[in-house]
Amino acid sequence: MTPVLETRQLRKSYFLGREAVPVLHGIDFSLERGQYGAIMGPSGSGKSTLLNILGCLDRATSGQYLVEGREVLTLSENDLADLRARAIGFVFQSFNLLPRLTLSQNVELPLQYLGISRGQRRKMVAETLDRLGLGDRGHHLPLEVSGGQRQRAAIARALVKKPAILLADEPTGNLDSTTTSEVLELFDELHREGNTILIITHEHDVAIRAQRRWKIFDGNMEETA
Amino acid sequence: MIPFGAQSVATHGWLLALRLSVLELRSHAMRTAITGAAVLFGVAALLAMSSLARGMEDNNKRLYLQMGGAQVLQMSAKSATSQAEQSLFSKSQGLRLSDVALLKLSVPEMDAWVPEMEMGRGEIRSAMGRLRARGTASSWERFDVLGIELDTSLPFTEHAWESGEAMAVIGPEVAKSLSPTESPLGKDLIVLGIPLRVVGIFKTTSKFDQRSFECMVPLNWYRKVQSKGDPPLALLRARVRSLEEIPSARERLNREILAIHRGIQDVDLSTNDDLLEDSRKTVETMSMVTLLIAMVALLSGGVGILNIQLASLSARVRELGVCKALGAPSMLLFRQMLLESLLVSGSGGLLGCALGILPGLFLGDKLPWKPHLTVTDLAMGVAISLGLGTLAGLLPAIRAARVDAVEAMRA
Repeated sequence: MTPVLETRQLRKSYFLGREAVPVLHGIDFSLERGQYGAIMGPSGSGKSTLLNILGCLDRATSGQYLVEGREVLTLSENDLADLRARAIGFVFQSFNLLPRLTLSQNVELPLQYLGISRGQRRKMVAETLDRLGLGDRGHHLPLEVSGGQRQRAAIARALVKKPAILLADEPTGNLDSTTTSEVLELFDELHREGNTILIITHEHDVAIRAQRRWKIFDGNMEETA
Repeated sequence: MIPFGAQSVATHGWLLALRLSVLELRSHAMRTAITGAAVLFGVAALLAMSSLARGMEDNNKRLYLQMGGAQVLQMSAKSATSQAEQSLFSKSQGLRLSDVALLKLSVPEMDAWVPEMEMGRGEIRSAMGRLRARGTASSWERFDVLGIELDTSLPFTEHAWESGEAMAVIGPEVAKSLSPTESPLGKDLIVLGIPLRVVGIFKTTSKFDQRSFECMVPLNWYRKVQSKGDPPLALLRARVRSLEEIPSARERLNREILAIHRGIQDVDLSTNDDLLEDSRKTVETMSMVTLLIAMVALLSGGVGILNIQLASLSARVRELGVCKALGAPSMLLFRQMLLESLLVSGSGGLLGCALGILPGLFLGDKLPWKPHLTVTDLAMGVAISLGLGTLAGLLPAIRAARVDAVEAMRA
């Protein structure tokens, strides 16, 4: 079976003047459909760089990166945007909801990028908001709801298009302990429902809930038990 | 997952960009309105000036026709511009009625002569008192050469006019002051203390029409009353038989007048085309100046849009990064930013068009000419505002398209 995400000898270097500074040293990694993975690592370990590459926001310097078997490194900017729109659902630490749009409109936005009809969009948004317990909060602006509800809306925005992978970058980093538990339980539920999830975190308590875990340190990654 | 190859953003990009732009502009309604107002006033000023200039131009053409069109030459006594000229002109008698008889014999290209004498201010009265009127004494041919039409009239003949009977044709404004409630036809005007019967009223287009305040009397009657043997003329018009003969007629007329006036150039000779050209140049200069002012106003509007869009881009850079992460292609962000600018300038332009029409609607009766706009003018107003929006929106749109999602989300 083709993995949802797969990297082979993925390397990334940044350049300081003419000098190349390697950040990722040949990462080999794959995540199968329906798996729940977590990548852990301290600040500066290269986990954000890896997330940006896995989220198709940045390109690796060399190696291979495949999303559902499709080579990413050779795609054009437009194809990358299309891939992000269809295959990848992002959940950010600071939610990143658009402040002038209601929660419904925020959740609807990725569907608009996909050219889905208005009626279909409305139906998909309502179903997703209901699924995440925000059915009665859709008309509120992000600033009018709690942090937990904002993060659930952000998860709804990532989920609504039924992506191949849900990529979460420190999804509980801005939440209190009660809300953190709620959100992590939500990820557990989504995993049970068959969604493929990859969380990037530096918190052991968050990573421990995942089915597969990797540690990244100084640009090298290895799977842990 | 929604499969690859389904409808992509590129196919519905403009519509989506438009929806997102409208949403963005609506969320900053006040800022949008103020930015658009600069374009609105610029376009309104441009169109208002354009409508005034067009009205003036039309008015000049109407006057040109009222003065007999291309075939009529005009002669008037020249004003001295220097001491030397003053001393020279004093030796000549100026333009006189006797010149007409001589010229008729020596310039065969002309088929009609219209001598005109100006009546003194205050010479025209009604039984009630003074009338505001400009008095002209002229021959019957003036009706024909200048194409004068009468709105209403009593029966009167060429013979009666030329034999100097006491009669007058007046403009509608003179008629109103002479007899506000009933028709002035058949009533008496008093010129130099002598009653004159009103036999006709000029047909005019507005109260600003030069004939509205005119009172025209037979030249021979005025001569009789004045008892001057060879009175000075304010103006002498002559009609050339055909357009082709104008250059030769002009040359011969100049030569003959010079001969009659013993070599003293004390008469100005011009065609109506000269006058039309002069007024066209005046209108053109005025239009250029106002166009320049309006363009400066519009340019300020464009700079305003550019400034606001760049500020908006800085404030929204994180949002744009998020949109890119969610799958928005660079072209969509480019279109969204450009459309925001176009919507602001375009709506400003449309409202500016509406405002620019107003002078034509409300000032038509208060000005000597009627300002008006054509569909081309309005289209030009909208096109200029959209062009401005495109220019002002291009840089922010390119910058929006180039936003790096990773960097933007760190901001």
